[in-house]
Amino acid sequence: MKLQSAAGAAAAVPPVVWNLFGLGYPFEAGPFVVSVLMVLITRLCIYLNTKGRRQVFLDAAVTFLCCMIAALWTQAHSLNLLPAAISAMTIAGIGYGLIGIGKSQLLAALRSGVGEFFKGMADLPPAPPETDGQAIDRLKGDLDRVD
Amino acid sequence: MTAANSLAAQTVASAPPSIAPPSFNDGASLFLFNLFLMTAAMFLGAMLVARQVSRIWAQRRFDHPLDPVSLYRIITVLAGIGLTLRCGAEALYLWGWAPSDPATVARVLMAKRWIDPVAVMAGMIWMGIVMLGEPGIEHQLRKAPLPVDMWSRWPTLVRALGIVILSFAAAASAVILR
Repeated sequence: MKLQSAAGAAAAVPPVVWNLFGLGYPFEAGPFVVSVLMVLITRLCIYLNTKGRRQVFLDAAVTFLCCMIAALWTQAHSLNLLPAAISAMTIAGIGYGLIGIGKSQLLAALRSGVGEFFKGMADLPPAPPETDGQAIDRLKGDLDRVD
Repeated sequence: MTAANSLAAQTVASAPPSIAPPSFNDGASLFLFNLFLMTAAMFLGAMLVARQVSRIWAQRRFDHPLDPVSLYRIITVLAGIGLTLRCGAEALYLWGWAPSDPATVARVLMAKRWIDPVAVMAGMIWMGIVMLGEPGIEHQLRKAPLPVDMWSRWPTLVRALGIVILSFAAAASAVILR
């Protein structure tokens, strides 16, 4: 009896889903907001104690970048609350390193793309397969040269 | 035995769906209160530990390990470690509660059972150092000038206040927007 009533009271609550600006890209609101706030908390814990005006602007820009990446990661993998919070803390902990990671990825992609381009330029088109008549002619020519 | 078919995972999988662990009896506000304080205490404790460890490391050439100030710093570090581990494990469990994913809940619960005793051990070492160093520390602490001017240092708590506010916002959004 007690269990029945508890099960009835705790009917599955549907998660809040946001569809910003009607873009047709709905996502769960809870993990999204939590990931952004976790980035802010972690940045506040670790990094945001720097001095100077330009440093403040740089910190704000990197924090914004971390928020964007954490939110996109959370949405792209539709994470639950705990994975969203932990990945947001990891991304915020990497901080400035994100720029280096992105730069190295971009440069690696550029390098491999350029390599592929030059390889494609250098490759000759494959030779068409030899027919029987051509093979006979070639072998005859070899025999004539020997004689 | 894997996490997916452990006893905890089976219990979670067979329980009625709820927004909070069963001990909260679906009380959203109590869940929010716990989530908020555990998260905030985890971050603040981690900050305190990092600060005290860096202080100990920076002063290692001047302060002998048995100086009263070293004992005070070790006590503070151990208190911070205990609080961080205990509240961090609890926050891990509260954030990880997901009836749709019993394997994760089981893993997090097992992690909590392993982390909590370590936190208790940190607390026991702290209490032991308090008992052993009591006469020496009190003798040193009685020396003039006695009143400590605490309120001139309140700006050092601004970051802590920000973390508390943001933790409350995170907990509230986790509970409300779930």
